[in-house]
Amino acid sequence: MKTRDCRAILRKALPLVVPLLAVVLAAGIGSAEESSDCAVCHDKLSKQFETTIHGRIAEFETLDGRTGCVTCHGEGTEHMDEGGDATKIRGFGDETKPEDAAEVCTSCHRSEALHDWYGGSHQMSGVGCADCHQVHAGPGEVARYSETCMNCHEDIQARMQYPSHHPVREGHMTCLSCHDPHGNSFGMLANDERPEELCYGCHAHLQGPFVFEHEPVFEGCDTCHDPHGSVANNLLVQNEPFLCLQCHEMHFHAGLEGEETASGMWYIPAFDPAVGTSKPDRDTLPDGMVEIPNGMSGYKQAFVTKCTQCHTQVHGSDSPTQTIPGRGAGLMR
Amino acid sequence: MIRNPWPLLLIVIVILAGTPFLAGDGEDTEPPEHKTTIEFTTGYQGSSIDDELLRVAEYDSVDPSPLTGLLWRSSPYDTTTVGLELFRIDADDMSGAFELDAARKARVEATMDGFIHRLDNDPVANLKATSDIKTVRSTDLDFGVDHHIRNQLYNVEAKFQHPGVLGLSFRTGFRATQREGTRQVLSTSHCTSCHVVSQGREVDQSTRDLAVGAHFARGRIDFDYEISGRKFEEDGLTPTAPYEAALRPAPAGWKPAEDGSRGDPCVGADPALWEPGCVPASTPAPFDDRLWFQSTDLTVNKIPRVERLAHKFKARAAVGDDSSFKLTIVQSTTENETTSLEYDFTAYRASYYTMVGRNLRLNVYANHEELENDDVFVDLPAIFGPAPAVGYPGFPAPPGVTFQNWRRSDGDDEPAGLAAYNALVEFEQYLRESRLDRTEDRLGFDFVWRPVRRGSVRFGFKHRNVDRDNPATKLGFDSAGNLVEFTVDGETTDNTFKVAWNQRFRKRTRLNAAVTYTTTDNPYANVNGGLRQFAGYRASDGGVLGSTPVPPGPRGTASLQYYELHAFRVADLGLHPSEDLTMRANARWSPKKAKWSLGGNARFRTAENDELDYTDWQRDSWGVGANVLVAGGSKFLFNLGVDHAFQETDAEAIVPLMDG
Repeated sequence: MKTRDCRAILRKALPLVVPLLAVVLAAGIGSAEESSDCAVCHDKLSKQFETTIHGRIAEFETLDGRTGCVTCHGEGTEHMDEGGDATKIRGFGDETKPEDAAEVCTSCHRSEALHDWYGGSHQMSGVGCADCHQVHAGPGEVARYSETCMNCHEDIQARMQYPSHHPVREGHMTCLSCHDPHGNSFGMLANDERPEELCYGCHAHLQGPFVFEHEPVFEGCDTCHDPHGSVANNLLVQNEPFLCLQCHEMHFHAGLEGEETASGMWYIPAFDPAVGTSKPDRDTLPDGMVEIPNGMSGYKQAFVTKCTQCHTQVHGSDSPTQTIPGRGAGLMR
Repeated sequence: MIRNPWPLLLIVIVILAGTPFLAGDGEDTEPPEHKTTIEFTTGYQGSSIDDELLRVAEYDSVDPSPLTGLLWRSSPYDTTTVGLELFRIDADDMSGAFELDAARKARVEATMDGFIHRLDNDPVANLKATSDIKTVRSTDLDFGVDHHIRNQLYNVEAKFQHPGVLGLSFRTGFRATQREGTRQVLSTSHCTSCHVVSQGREVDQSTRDLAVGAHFARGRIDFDYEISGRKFEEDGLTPTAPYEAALRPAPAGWKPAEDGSRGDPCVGADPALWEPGCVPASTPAPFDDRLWFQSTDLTVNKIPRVERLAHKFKARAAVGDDSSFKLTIVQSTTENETTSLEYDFTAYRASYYTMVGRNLRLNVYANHEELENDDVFVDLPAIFGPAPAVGYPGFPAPPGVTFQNWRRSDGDDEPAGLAAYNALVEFEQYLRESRLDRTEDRLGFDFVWRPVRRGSVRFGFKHRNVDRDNPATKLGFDSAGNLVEFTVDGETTDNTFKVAWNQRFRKRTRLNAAVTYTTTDNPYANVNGGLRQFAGYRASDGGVLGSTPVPPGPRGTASLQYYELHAFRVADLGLHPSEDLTMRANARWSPKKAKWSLGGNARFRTAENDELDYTDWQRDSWGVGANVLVAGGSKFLFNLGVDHAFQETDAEAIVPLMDG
């Protein structure tokens, strides 16, 4: 990274860091309510619990002001009086319905992340909080996001192994990079806008808007790409040119029959002399000839192999292309 | 290694330096408990991946190197926790995380991640062809170069909550993405000689996202608001590419010059007396170029600066004990700062969730979205100057041979069909109305029945309507036989039905399966996708547009290829299905108290489009897989799987009959 970029990041980050520090330094220390009564019997669990985010929760974070074990398990006096009778306290075992457990969690977790939990696919399908979260787990024992998801979505896990994939299995992305398992106003994507805006978060150079458009881009990135993985390169749902040929006829040069010159060479003026510059041309032979070796199939190899060799700007462009009939919209510059 | 981790490290250092001030106000009766955990991990990673297989290892480090990891977590003061995690594989592959929980009043999480993305380098070797007067060739200026991009991501999120204001919290997030490296850029100089040049391009892209939000919960109501901005810049040098002089083959009676240009006319009326090298009299007339520019270098792959600003407001109200109503409003503006084009997006989303009975859940939702993009007047002569002259001094191009000739044939012999065509279609100056402009509505519900405690059956329905403001146009004839430009139906409606089953048997077996069926009316298609003759038109008629015969040109045909290509591309082609059926199933079983589990999955999809005017297609794909997962605690994970995928597409491709 260049120094100026570093400075730019710092410049951008400082507005965040300064108020952040101000709040941190101004903040006093609250005291979390201890669950010492529970620790008498559940000492191992209690010690572990203290290191969890729930063990550190403050009174002002819960709407009823209660913290510690009773926040979730409720009043435990009767449970203790009855010698630890599990039926006398709220538990979260197999016998508990996921939605009942989730109701306890969402009584506190009402922030933006859980705003759309009710009505979301997971909630509706009976997936409970404890299916993904380990409430008593300490730091370092929290399940990794993607592996948790793959416990149920193995078909997606399989597609993540395809030759072209996002770097999820390499650990540089997680399912949460694109999805919100708690639901959102627009399905399970981590985005309240159109799905494409999610893609542009990382692929911003393709966002535009451009002068010369490619219509299917607006119909959704999944028109051509499969974000969970594909056999074709660049996450394409099909290889070129077959993908392109489902919406376009073959190039009008594709039907042209090539020919093989006797020497396999063809004279081509590399550049217009009027330009007065000579650019390197690896294929230019000393006598000014270039090699054209593909014979009769030459035009088919050239025009029915990979459309994006020439139409490089398939996501849109601001630069008009060279030919007049294409009205500048050939997406080649 | 992250090339410059100073931004994140500085944040970490500053915050760590500040933690002593978090020791509290001295009211604590118990001495602070100081707990510190440090873990150090080391190892070695190797790779047997060779260059030929880089595509399946596009994110992997291929150079063997030692790997190191550090996890440090400390609670220096009672309710304050600080954690730091670093992991390094090699110079391009590194991650780190920092977290601070200051008495729950301020929580900060910062992460950084660096990884390499290896890119293709197309050898463009297939681009070599020749025939009579035309050639295709390629020049690879970066042959064998290992293009790759180093991605660096920094993310800082902070949340603040003041003890004195219950239910109110603020948050802010900053995300910086840096992409540096090189990648291949192809450019094509064409007409008469197609020449593709491959060169490397510097990539130096930065994306900065900043968001500030607030959440308020009180009683049965929640409100959330967030404003976010993004700035994207490409600082890499925009490459230039050569656009060469069009190769103008000599016509009959001319002797081409050595540079490939037309040369000079041969002397004498009798072809038999022409000097050696003259093009025989029987040779068909050549065509001229149709280029806006040539003999120059121009930029290619120019990437614009982009800026966007978004507002998001969400509200939720609990209605009764088991029902809630939600409303979301999103508005964003995205601007291409290079061209000053911008589009606006507005969405209104509402949903209502309720428990209909003890085991029945219902969620009803409605979405309304509007997208509006700027129109732009494309004035090619203003960019490149007037359209190039046709022909050469002393040798004007024969009428009826070139595109421009047809376009500019305004004499008495101008065919009526052509005049109508010219009146309808303006090639050089036109208003580009964006295809992005649209209104999209969704209405649907999910209904879930839970007959048993750990099982559910879900029925879903979604109705979607897309109304495009500026749908494509294509040529045709009206009932009176006049050539007209039709605006196609820009409205697409689809209905999706879904049934899903989710079942768990204690914690040892889980199953989920779903069937989704979508039927679409007028799915999106390229209405100018393929060449198609109008009804009643025969090529032997020699009429370009069917209504008025056009005199044959010097090459023995009346059809002007570009002219006809554009006019007759009236067959719609598309890859959006009119019917789409997807089925998937996943299962996992684990023995009691075992650390391993066995999983299997199957998926099937069949999609087809039989609504296209002239062609149909069908695509079937299926896959099955199985895997064994061994999880020996949080430190050990072993996953072995096998998967088989199959896809078959049966589609008709339109093969052109002309060769340009």
